[in-house]
Amino acid sequence: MAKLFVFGIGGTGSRVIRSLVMLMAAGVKIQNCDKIVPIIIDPDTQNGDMNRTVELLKTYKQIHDKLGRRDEGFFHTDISTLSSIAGDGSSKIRDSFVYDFGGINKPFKDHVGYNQLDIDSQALVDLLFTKENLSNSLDVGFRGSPNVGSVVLNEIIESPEMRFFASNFQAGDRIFFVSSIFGGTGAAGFPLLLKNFKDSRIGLPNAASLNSALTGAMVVLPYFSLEQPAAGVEADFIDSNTFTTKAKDALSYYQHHLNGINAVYYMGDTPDKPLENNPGRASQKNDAHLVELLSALAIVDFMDYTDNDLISNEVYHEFGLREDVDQVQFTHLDQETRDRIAKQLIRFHYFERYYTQHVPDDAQAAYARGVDLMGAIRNEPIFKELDKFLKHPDYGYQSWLRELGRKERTFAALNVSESDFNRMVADKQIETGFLNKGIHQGSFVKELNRASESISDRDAFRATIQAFEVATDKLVEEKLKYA
Amino acid sequence: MIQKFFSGLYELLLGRPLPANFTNDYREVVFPNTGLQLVLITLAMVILYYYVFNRIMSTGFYKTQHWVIMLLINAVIAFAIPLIQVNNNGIETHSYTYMFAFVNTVYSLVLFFLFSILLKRGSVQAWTTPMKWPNKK
Repeated sequence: MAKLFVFGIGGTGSRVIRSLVMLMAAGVKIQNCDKIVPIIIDPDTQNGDMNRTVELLKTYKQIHDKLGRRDEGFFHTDISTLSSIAGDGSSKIRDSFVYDFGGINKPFKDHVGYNQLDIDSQALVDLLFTKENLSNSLDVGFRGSPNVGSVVLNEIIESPEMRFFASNFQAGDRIFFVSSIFGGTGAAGFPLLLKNFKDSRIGLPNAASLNSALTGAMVVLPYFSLEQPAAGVEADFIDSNTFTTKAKDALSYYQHHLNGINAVYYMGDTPDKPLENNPGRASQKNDAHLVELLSALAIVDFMDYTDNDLISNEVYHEFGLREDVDQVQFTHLDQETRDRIAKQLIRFHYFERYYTQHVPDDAQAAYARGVDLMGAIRNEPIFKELDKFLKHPDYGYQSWLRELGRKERTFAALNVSESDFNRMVADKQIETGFLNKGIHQGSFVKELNRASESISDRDAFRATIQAFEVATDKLVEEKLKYA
Repeated sequence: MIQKFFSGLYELLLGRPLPANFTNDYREVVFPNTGLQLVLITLAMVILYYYVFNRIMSTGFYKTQHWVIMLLINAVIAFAIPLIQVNNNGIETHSYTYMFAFVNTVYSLVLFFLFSILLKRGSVQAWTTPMKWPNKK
């Protein structure tokens, strides 16, 4: 039962995990592990990016749990909160996908006991931290200041959560960090956690397993910028002009101090239109970005490596597109990447389109009648969860895909607003004619009915998802002929 | 045997065939021919619906309204069969003839339903049409 612990640190960590969840929902296979344990580390408990990722994870988990353990298909990858990995209810920590900072809501100055320090120590603190660093409240995060983050986050290694994590860490489990290099929480958190996990003197349980654990990291380089307040305007903001400088400094630090890592992935992009400058809390809810989706692929790639591959040599990856295009389609991805995600995403997109647009009209279709699908949709809570996963305006699949299309460099592989199945995949459209209508409601329902014939499960939810898996696979292979 | 069966079936509702001088023609020719045709055509219609339209071809005609259309087409055919039989056998048309056509139509509805229930399980697209019962899956 090998597990993969994914530490999503800071806003970027949360956003990459959001994309990872979408990939898992589509059935993208994550090899060499039975369970993924996402742990989001962000002191900003109100953070919009984090909270919607947490909601998405909860919804995913409910859907997965209902569908049960499977080797492939939509939602087949098992996920778990840290507290539930023990499986015996013995954990004393909060059952959540988020690390519990216990509500640090005081200024950094009070957190380090600045006023109790002697004058020389105060002078040293003044040298290392700006006045804003010292006076800013920590409940909003570190506002892009890794020097603050490195102090606060260094303490979490002593927390019950980390001890629980270490106690339940087993030989064969892997660790993956996702963080940005240009912000505060991620830039500080990743090297700190790595250092502590790999330092046997720290005194964590299972230190030997942790020390030798295969560890990967996705280091997200600057890929967006933030609006700057007008000159003379007093505003609480993150200065995105420092992103590149901070990234260079951090890279230089990594070059000499990043020990015990087996695979590092780098990804970045030229920032396009600046985003609204929200230092934290609920208002920090940035649109999903192509870089986050591609960053999530680093986790898939890391898990594709066998233990021996990673033990024998460290690997470093930098992501590149085949062409520098603004509207990224599947053909612009490397063949390996395309093979990993294209068909799965197309199938999931077909499923989502059909399920949300046509299923209500299929009350009389055999696949629906056979399991009383309409009654189940009305009465069973799991269908509400599926609805949330697909359609929730904040974190659902539809909004994620729409957000990915709003930037200058967009993920345009799937046409979001297209209702014609024959035109949904940007790089492969189905030619239709008088006798060949391609994929339409009639052919879709036909495949669903055919699929349902061989499904023995009488549960409406499981039977429906399985029917869609079989039907979309057939449609992609035989009608779309996607290769 | 077949003559007796179909004569009994029709006369159960219609009584003795009229005009009286054609009673034997009805019993020996018209009733058995009509009954056999009714069974065969209805069976063919049900097979056409469940196995051709909704298994081999998967036309999308799987809804209850499509089944009802087939039922009605079969009913029209069933109404026409007695009239054709009577006409082809030189039997004088009588109000009995139309009653006979009507009864044949009613039988066609019953038969179509029965064949549907018996054969629908073999259909991919329409095994739940007109209802899921008696199949479970």
